[in-house]
Amino acid sequence: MATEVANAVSNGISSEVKSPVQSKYSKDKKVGEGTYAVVYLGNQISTKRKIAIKEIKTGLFKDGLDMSAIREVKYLQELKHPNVIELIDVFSTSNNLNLVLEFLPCDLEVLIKDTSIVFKSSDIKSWLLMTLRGVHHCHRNFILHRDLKPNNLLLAPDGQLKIADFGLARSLGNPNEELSSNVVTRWYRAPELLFGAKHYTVAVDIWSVGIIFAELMLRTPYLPGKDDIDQLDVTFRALGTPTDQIWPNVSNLPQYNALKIYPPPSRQELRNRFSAATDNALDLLILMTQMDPSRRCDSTQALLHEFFTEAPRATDPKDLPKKKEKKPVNEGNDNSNAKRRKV
Amino acid sequence: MVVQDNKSNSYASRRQSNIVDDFDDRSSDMCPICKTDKYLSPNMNFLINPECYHRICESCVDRIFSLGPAPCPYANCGKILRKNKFKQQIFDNLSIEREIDIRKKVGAIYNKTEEDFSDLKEYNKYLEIIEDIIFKLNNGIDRDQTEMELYTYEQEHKLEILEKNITESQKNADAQKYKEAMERLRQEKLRFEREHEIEDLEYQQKQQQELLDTLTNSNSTISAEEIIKQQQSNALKRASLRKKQLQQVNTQLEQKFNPVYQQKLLEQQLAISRMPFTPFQGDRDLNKLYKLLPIPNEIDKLMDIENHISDSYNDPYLNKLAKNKEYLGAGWRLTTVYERALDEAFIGLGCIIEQEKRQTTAV
Amino acid sequence: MTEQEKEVEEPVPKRVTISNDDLYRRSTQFELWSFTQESLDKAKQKANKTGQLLAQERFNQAFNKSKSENPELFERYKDDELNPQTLITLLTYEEESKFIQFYCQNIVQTTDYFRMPTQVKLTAISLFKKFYLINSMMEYHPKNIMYTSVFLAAKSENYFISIESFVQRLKDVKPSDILDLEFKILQSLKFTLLVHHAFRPLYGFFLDFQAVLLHPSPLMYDVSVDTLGALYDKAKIWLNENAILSDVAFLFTPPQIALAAMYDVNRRVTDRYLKKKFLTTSAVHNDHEEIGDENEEPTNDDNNEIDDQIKSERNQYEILVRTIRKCIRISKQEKPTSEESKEIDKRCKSALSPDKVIERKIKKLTTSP
Repeated sequence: MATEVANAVSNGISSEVKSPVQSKYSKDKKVGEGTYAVVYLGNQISTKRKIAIKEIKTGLFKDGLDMSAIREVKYLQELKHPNVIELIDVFSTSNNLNLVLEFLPCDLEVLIKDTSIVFKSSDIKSWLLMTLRGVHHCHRNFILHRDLKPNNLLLAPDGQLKIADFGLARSLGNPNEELSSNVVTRWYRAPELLFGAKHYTVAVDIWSVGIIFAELMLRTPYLPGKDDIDQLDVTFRALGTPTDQIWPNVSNLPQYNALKIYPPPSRQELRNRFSAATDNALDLLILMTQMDPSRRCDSTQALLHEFFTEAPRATDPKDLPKKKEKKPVNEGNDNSNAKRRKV
Repeated sequence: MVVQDNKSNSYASRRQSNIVDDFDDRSSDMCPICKTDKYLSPNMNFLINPECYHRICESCVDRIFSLGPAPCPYANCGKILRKNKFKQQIFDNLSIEREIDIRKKVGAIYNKTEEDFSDLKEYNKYLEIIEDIIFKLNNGIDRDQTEMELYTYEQEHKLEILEKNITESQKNADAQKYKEAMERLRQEKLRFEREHEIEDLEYQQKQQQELLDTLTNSNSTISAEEIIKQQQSNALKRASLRKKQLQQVNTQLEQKFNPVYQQKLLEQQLAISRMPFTPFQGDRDLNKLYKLLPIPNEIDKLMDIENHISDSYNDPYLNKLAKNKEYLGAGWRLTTVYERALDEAFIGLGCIIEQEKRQTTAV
Repeated sequence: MTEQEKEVEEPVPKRVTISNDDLYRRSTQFELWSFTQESLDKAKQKANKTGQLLAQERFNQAFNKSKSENPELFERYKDDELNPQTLITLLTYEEESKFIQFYCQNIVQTTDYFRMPTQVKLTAISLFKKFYLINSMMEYHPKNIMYTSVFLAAKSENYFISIESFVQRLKDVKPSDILDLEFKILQSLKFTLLVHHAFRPLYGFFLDFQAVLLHPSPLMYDVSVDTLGALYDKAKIWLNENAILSDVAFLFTPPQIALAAMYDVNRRVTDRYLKKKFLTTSAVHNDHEEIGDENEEPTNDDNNEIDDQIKSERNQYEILVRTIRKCIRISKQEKPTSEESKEIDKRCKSALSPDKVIERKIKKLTTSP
């Protein structure tokens, strides 16, 4: 069956052979619907493997296939890493694009919010490590994710963390190319983006990871701005107002605005804020949340940081805390799936 | 075993000393340095330092020794004390306290156990040596020389001592784990049995009610005997099912809590922890085919880049961009552009498609 | 690398490292869109064959329909004018290949006309070529496939242009012409959109040529940053004029194509670079001999090891140069003339609408007896 399908597709007559493709996978249950896609749970028939099918509607938009669908399929096709969601297959039914993704029942946001679950410092280390490995793989392929946040970090049943949702991703541009600064969910948006920078770098993703790291330790969002202006204020209050002295040329960014001047926090203040953090953890956090993007560490430096080699060792993924099932397995999963897939 | 005895002793003695302190000996509850009295400040604590065993209250210790080692404030003492060596007094009698400390210290160095000796005689000899040392140190006989001997022994047997320490602590931990696991197993079994008991009780009551209902209901076509018979056979079936269930639960529990099974898990974990930590798990190329020339990165050099690239790459177009203040503010640097281009120049250079694809199609 | 290191490595559990070449091997460009010359030809022939069958069927239908409407006419001319054998038009595999090249030139003109970035131009060409590796011009006329490729490439390369403003500036194209084909193209591409081009590697080599040939001190008396800059500019033109129109992207990797451009523009400098870069051991060894020291008599083992290394380096260098030369040869295959292209276009249209051909023929036969 599988080879038949492969042949059919390479013959370029795939639209005519719907049934064999569909019979490779079962769509068991609809778990989410949004403006441009519907998500189903199902099985890969041959392996009984659980899968999620994201059916992207085409012919709905006046400009053809949606940009985020194009991005998602473009980058997921290329990325193969244990910490990036796996695109198992792509197929088409009538005029719909179907992404067959690995089934991931939970995400990091759900765990952070579940106050009945205790995070050990080794658990946090493990999640951070996996996130950084996934991000490193994207960056090694010159791909910016641009929407890292706890609810895009999905968790597999075996505990592996997987970066998902590449709807805002893009390849690193040519030097003169302008990138949109209106990316990344507000709370995880780096200061250079808040200032409207158009020539930013992989540092925007590292900032998001740093903020997620802080959130894992605090169990509450670190910089929850109410709107874009408030985001600046919240960020400055936590990490100090950037000026040309500490961040050269920041005032040349298009929407630079110093609002109120807050002093940068002392080491002791940060230590109090993250009382459970070791000195190495604090060092790494500080490196990832440097205001000046040119001073922020990259994924290689972060992965080589002493924090990961000091005791305790990162928890083995399979021993990480999992979501506590209240209802029967399937229904519990539905909720999280429906919520995380803002389709 | 010995350790445990100590604990219970210390607990008893502390209780005792408290009673004595509270009613009789109030003078000893005053700090001789700051003159604070336990009677007026019941929260105060006394500490001693094994260097001289002089009692000083906690706040004095904080005040005097926080900035580093300082001499003991007792007149005529003056021994240099360190804050981290201060501890709570366990025994009321300071000479006992001191002996215990000495025992601990010597025991940490002479840490062999019986199993390390071929026969009991050897072991006893070893114990004798230990007692000798302790006696000498405790009573100030040849103290300096004994200390020296102890020190040289420690230096000479450093590795041995460490190894012994590790195996002992592992043994203790294992024993502890075993005890805990067995206790948990026992509790779980108990819980299941209790649950079953309650269930059985409910079942019995229900049956009795049923029987009563049928008996009072005169319209019933079935005789009371038959109902009783039926119920008895049901109860029998139930009992055997129950037995089976209990067995299943037991084996499950054994697996879950059994120390042998647990041991296996532990070994697996140990095997994992012995594996070297690899931050990238191979997702990195450490044998890049190019050597990066130094690239200016500091703002002042970048603003005058033409004069700072004699040993670097030169691209007039990028030189211009490198000075752009908006680019600089956004974190854009020459290095990232150059490094990426150089990376891409060699990504796939060594893939000879004609060869590799022929091989794959042949396979 | 050396024997010694190998021995040390063995007891450690095998760890998989993904080198930069492995990274390329994992890309869809390598997995799905890289071919040996033989398999590329096969794919093209297969697409051509499928197209011919479709065209044949289409022709038969039109022919039979017309025949049933004008039976006596078809009987009269059955051996000459209305002989199906002479009436049918099927494009050959060579014709299709030429026409693809011609249309790649059109894509360049179109993207230039819209002032789109190079990246869009290159990706559009790539999408277009891949489409015709799967499909035939006897099924889809290239004109709208071309526009759709450009539209899709613009979206994929973050140069979004709305369908109205795109169509507005083109002649005889409706939004639906493009949107209807967009999904068809994506299907043929198996939804792979990321394309690695030779231009960034070329820039990388411009930099590495500087590092290797100029630092710490110049290796060649007549090579400076300026000459290397000129070489780089000419190589870019070379890529535009040769490589992007040819099939090399299916047969070679972007760095190989980039080096081919450098090599063909200035063989002397490029070869010096390659030698300095890839024949490191032999260079050291030769230097060693030139100094001529009698005291150090290397042991046999050492000698063998160095010899082996030199041999394997040589071998790799030669493979690389051979690959580059082959790439140059294939890049420079002759381009179709516009007359040729016009002729193929006519035949392509005939193959796509045989009914019109037959109609015209009948008209001619009936109006001028």
